[in-house]
Amino acid sequence: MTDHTVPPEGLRRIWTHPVVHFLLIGAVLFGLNAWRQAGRAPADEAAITVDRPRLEALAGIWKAQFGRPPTQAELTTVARAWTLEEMRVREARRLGLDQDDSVIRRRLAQKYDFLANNPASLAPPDDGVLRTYLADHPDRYAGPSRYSFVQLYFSYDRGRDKAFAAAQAALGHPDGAKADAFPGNPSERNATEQEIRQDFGSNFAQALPRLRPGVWEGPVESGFGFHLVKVTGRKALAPPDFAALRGQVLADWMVDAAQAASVRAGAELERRYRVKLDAKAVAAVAGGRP
Amino acid sequence: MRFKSAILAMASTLVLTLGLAGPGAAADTDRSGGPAVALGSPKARAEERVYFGDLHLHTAFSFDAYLFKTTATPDDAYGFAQGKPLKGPNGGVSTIDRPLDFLAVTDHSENMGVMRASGDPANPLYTTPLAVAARDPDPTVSGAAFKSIIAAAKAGKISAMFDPKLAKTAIEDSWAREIEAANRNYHPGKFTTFIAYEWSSMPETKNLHRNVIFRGGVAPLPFSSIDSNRPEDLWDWLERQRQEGYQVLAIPHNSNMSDGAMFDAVDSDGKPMTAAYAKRRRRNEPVVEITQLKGQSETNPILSPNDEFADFEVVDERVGSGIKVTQFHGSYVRDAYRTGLTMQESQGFDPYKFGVVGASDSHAALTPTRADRYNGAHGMTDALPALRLSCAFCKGANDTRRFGAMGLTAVWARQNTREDIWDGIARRETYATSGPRMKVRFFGGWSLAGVTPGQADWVEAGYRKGVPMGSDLPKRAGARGPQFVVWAVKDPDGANLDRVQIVKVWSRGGKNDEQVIDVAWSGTRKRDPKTGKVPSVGSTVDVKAASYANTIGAVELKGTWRDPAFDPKAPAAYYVRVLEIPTPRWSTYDAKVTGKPIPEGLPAAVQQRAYTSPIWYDVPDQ
Repeated sequence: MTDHTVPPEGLRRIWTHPVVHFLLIGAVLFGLNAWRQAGRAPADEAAITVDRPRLEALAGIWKAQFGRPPTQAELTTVARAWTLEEMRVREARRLGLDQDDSVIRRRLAQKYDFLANNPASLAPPDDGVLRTYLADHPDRYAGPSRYSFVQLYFSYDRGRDKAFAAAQAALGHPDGAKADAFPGNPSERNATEQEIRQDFGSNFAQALPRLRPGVWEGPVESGFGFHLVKVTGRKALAPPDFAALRGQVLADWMVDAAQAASVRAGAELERRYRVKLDAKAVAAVAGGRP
Repeated sequence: MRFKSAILAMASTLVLTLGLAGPGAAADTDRSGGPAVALGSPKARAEERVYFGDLHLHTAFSFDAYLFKTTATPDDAYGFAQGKPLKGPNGGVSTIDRPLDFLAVTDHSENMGVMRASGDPANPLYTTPLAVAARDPDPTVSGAAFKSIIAAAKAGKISAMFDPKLAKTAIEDSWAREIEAANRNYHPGKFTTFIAYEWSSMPETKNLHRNVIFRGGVAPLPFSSIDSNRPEDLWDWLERQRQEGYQVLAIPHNSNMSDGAMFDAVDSDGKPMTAAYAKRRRRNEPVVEITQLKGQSETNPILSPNDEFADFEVVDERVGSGIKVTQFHGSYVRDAYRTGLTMQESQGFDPYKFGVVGASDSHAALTPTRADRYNGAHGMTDALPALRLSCAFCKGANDTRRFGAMGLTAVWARQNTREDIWDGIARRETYATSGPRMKVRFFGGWSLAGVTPGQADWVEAGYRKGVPMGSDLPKRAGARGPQFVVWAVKDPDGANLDRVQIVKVWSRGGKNDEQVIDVAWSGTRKRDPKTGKVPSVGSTVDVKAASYANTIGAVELKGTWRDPAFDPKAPAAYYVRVLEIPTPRWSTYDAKVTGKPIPEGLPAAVQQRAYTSPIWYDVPDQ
């Protein structure tokens, strides 16, 4: 698989890394904020201003939700909900409720992940990459296997044990065997697993892939009795059609690429931090349970 | 996992934004869904398969399912039907034992998706008192919200519960999502979906609900019972849609909860029916749902005292309330056939000449079809065995202990596509089952010599010499009564068969009647010469262990029957009922799991079954 996210070595490597982007953006925002705060009178703790950028952000969320911009009344309601939330957030911060809160910690970590590993930031792969990906995952995209077989049927209506014995006995001379009339088509041609399951039952459908083709095998139990089965053909459907599957392949590639990026980012972080784990304390807290 | 799903969501959003369609998006967007399926020669018809599916199911887009804390979406429902696991509102994960061949998600059109939208803090609907109550984690409080909506629906005031403008936006958004989900999950040849919804008219909690099923890949915004709760107005709308090019049909359900209103002898205004009314009703409603969770609607012991198998999953309450049904006449399918045949005999038209289908009406986005895997169908209110047995949330609503873990529709069709399945339903070549996937064939004619199940090409002969389920008998030939051939094979993953019956319904001299005839049965049982009935198959059910054994019953049953009491002057309908041997009811499995007793009044075992669409005989014009 070609990987578009591994940056070149050296200085360029640092500047192209998403984490660096994130830190830079953060630094710029921090600076801006400090500059804005500095130019103002001492902040009025009780003032909440819902300004144009905020309203535009709220309208954007609305539009994403409903597929159209909000009306004046709707936007007012949303803005009110936002201010109520803002008040509660400020009160909660004042009380220090954000400290050591596992939900907030997880959310921050998630936000970081999102910025660091956003799949939208991956360069879209070209068709060559996607074709390789498709070829590397044949099981995921191939159609269902189709089976052709003939079978001899020994009905439960004889009694289960007798049906089994008759099938077993017939294995030696299948051509002359006195089998029962199968309730349905006595042979299948290019049937899918779903069809075989419906006609013979789940047991039988599961047993089919294990049978050697070209020879009589069994007894195989179905929902109706026992069978001797000769598989005459087994084929996967026509190879997957790239044009029809392109969207699905791209989505799957994105997921895989994002996961790979996430693993790399995790490793990168572990390199940057020195983690000290007090092994003695671990043992003590675990109360001696190894 | 949360992260992975976020990535998945983002990736799929991106894919959509880029306009790259997955394979499912290649769905036909033609209004009609393409040309009518041409029926092949008898030889080609004999190659047709039977497909099993559910034509009635709710997701979080239905107001009531949302109040039951069902969070699953139409995509989740289509995924479940195709074999994907689905997480339930009480924790726990459900999977279907075998994928379905087709599914129609039929969310209530009334305020479709509005309750769900009102759970979003960014939506102004969030502060609606009803929305606040609905969000309450206590199911008794959210249940009260459900009851207030039912009360509003009953009073025709459901539209007043939300700001109509805000509601309209949410409905349009939801309907667009329903259509997208149906098209996204349609895989011709493998899995069929239908764009569909439920028209939920229930004047005085008398159930008149219909499911509306579209054939194509596009559909107009639903006509709901807020627009009108009269079926005649729904048919007007359906006919207008047909003129616009949409192929669409409606399927009434739960006549058993209609208190006699579903199959009344008069129209919605209390006026006598006319030939035009009958024709219109049949054109818009070719089939009726005969079995589902909220009981079967074939018949009950009061209407059919001589039918010893009529006492099966009978629910005699009105929909969404504990009020008892008192009018059984007009509430059941067999009774409707009788009414219709008498109208045919005396007035020359039959409004009730319909076929039958089965469905779940699940409100948990999953189709329950097996008693041993039943995990409830009403969200948080019945998703745990102990809850189901105690019925803790049933007060003032229906007693969900009496609901059955059923049903399915079976359609004979050429291939698994929207066109083939929909056309099969429209021509009534269907049967309903209470869940098991038995195969049933049924042919009628005047001389079916050579139509012998088990012999090579017998199905081809059946199509050549006779007509299949859902048809009219051809013009009478010969001096004798009509002949019928029946063939049934057990569900390969289910119980053996007890018997196959033909139910005959007819009208003569303005009086109608019914008769159930055993046609084929397992073992060496003899028909009782006095009653004409075949004795019971017995039972292998071990109630404590919640198990049964296929040591009684048959794998396959076949039979030929000629009506010995045929009266050429009496219009008649004949349909098949197939009975399995007794198996434990879902409540018996729950009793085993919880160690609690089976609640009083519930049978430990039931005989699951199938019902076919009828074959009709009509008196020729003089």
